Amino acid sequence: MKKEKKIVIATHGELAKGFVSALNIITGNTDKIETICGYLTPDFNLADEIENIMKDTNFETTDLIVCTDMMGGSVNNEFIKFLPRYPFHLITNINLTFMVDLLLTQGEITADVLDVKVSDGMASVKYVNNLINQYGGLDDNL
Amino acid sequence: MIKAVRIDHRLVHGQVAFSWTQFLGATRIIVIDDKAANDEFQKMALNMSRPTGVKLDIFTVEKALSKIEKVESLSDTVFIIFGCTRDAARFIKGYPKIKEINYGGIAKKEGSQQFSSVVYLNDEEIVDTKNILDAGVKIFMQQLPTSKREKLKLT
Repeated sequence: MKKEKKIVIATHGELAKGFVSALNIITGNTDKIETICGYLTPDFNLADEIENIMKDTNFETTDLIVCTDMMGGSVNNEFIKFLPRYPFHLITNINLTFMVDLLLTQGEITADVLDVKVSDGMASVKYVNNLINQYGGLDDNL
Repeated sequence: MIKAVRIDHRLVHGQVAFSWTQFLGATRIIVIDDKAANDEFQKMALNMSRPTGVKLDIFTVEKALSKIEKVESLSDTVFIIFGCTRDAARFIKGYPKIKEINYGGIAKKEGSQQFSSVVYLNDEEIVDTKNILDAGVKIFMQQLPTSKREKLKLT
């Protein structure tokens, strides 16, 4: 049986909602993405939010992919603590390119699929000025 | 095989490079736009937005017409993008085999009329559009694979 895909974007501040806003323009179909916008109120409790997400997820039928904003940030750090207890995928340092790719991927999300996606050169941070200097023309084979 | 044809003033950008290319299963994008094809810097910039594993050509209308027979014979799934109605109309005049074309985005200009949230046509573009319709090509408007396909009605 094909598993469902559940995506959670968790960030400092409203970045998560910003990602959804941008994804709506590029891919559409963002209704199913859940967001956690961290630390906007003094009583924000990330551990509780994460616990709720984990309890709401049926891991037998669902692949849960959690996407956080920053390696070493407290949002990602908190999710790391849950990795030994729940079988979810945790991705960090996300950007729009990666998210577009993830959203458009049909079929099951496996560890192998994610491994390929995080190594895709298109999704890395780039210094565009240098790319311009390295450009050698289109490899037009028509 | 030519799988889809679109007019988009932004040429290859997020919606096109990712959403449409993936949806169509396109393996080759052919941009047909005289202005872009004659601008080395823009060609380089477009090449940067090319999705991994997808081939990209950027042709003038004239060059595209000279290559179209070869394009037809490719095993690639081809996605053609025009930057403007003018180049689309000129291409279709020389290659009347296109069945339908998606007006995916045409910028607002002074004196242009609105046809959808992202499609605006001025008088010259309306003439081009009539020429495209007269060639037997169906025109529709659809920004994303997930958004609604609308008919373009000239009044």
